Amino acid sequence: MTEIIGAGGGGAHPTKEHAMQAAADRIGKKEAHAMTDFVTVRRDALLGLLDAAISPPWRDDENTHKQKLEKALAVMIVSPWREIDDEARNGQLWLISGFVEDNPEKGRWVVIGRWWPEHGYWTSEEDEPEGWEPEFYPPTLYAPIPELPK
Amino acid sequence: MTEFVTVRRDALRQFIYDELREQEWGVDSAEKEAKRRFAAMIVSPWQPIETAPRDGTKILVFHPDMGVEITEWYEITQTNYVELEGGLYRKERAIFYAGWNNNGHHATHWQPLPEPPK
Repeated sequence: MTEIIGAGGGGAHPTKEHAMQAAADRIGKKEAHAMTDFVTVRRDALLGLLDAAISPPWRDDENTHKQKLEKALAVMIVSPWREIDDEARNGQLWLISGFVEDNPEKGRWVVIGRWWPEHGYWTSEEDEPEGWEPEFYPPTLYAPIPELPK
Repeated sequence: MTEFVTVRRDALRQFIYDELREQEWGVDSAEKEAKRRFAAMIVSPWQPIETAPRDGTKILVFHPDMGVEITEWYEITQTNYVELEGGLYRKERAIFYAGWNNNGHHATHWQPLPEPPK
């Protein structure tokens, strides 16, 4: 079966940057947050793709081109981290992250943990980071655990 | 070290497809080619454990029996005293024990932790 991945053609957007932003906005509205919604690519491969796409027939000066590339890259790259919401409290394991000011690791910690509905707080599968009391310093961010290697 | 980035699956596929369409590829051939190019770009972020950083950086590791864990390389050092001539000694730091935290010593693969937003 042919999977339709796009129906548009060239010329729908005035510039490549507009097209890129439009594509990112369109997909972003889906609010997807499973690890299967993300893919990992080599940064240099993605840069190569974007470089070819934003290069006009004439060559920008180096700085302008670099800025365009950085902007294009920023549009494409996503962070799997999201602020804690109701979905995060479904009892499944997540990567969770929080911030404790007196934590030796510059405040930011990441562990694998889950919401414990019976007790109403977060619990970790590992040793808790120093200074982290889940009842008092709950995580602020969560991200899916990556898909396992094949 | 090779740097990896995370992108939205659909956004990347759509972008490749749009690029091909802009180069005047037909709808069917653009879809086919976009799929091929998309598949060629994707890599697994999991790398052999032998290549994991041993500098104390926290990483994600995987083992078929334990699943995914966070671990880090740690080293316990001790001081050895090496005897010199004339009854003198020189202090030497030596690694007494080194290994992965948690079950990391069983891990087969690793990948960096996703960087939290600043």
